[in-house]
Amino acid sequence: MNTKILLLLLLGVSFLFFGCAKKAAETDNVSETDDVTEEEETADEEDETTEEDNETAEEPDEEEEELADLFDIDKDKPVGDEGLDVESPSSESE
Amino acid sequence: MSDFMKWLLTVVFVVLASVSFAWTNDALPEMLEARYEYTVCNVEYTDEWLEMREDCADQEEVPVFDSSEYMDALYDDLEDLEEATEEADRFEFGVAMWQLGLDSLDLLVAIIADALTDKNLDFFSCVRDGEEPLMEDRDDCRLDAMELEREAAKDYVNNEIDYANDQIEDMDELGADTSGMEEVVEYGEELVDDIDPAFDTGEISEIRKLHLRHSRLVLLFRLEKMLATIDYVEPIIEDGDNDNKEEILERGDELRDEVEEVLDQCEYSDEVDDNFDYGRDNLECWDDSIDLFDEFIAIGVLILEGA
Repeated sequence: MNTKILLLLLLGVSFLFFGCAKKAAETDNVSETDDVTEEEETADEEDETTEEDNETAEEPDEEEEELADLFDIDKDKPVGDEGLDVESPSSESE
Repeated sequence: MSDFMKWLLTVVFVVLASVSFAWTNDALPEMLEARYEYTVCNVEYTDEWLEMREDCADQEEVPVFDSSEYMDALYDDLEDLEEATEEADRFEFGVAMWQLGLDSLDLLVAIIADALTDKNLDFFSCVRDGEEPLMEDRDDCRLDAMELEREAAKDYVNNEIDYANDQIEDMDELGADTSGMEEVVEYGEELVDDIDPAFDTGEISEIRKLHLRHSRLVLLFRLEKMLATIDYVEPIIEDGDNDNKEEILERGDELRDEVEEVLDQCEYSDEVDDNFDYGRDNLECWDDSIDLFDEFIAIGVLILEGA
């Protein structure tokens, strides 16, 4: 009985210990992440502005895309006289 | 436009170019079915004719070659043709029919060679008499198949005319000169009017003439469309600032000259004096045009890349 209680207490302390350690680590990371996030947000804002400028400059010329679409042509031949010219045998072949 | 965007659009354009003109004629399955039925008539007649010939050989006690391998080949070809017909696969149909033509020729050569081997006049006389009823059955069979083809042909060409008119309308809306395309469509309408008279003759050579004219007209329409497109696009590119402007204008100019040359050489005639000559000319015209089609598509890619 005493052994069981002791074991249970040890397990409980272990979980408590590891739980605190994990939480401490997370708290440290959050602080670091916050700093990084702020930096990233600033950089992102700058990027967005640049991207917006680029989008205006990079927007494809729709008229020229429509012109390019006109350059489309079917290369396949239609059904022809194939099979109509196949000769059948006859006494005239001999 | 970023390089990646250009690359992506080019890939999309090339893929679409290869599939978008996958306009299929709704009457294609009918056409293939009719032609398949016609071919069945010929193959079955050939089988029966060879059997009759072997009976004559037995009767006259002369040797005859074993034709079973040749007939196996023809029936294999027929099976491939049937499959292509069921799938309405234009390309595979052409391949199977071409192979059947080759195997039929092989058989004819074998028959001629065999005829020169230890035969007598009574044998040939027996074959001549025996083939008459077989030929009558074959000709009746062919007529039935031709009736299927008559209706299919009218639907097929009318569908093409409707499609051509849609294309003319689209280009008219842009302000392009479609007079060349319209002229070809008029010839196509005359061709439709000639379908019934040709089939009424019951002569395969007359029906072949229709096909030969049809093939020429389809090609000419595409060439005229290319010309109309180049003429329409040229001033727009000249006034624009496409990155590939110089090259587009130069290649477009060269292509125009080449298309006009082929149009000149392959001028349409509704009179087919000799099926073989007209067919040979068609082959040359199509061969000369394939590279032009590729160049036409390539110019479209240039426009897109430089946009």
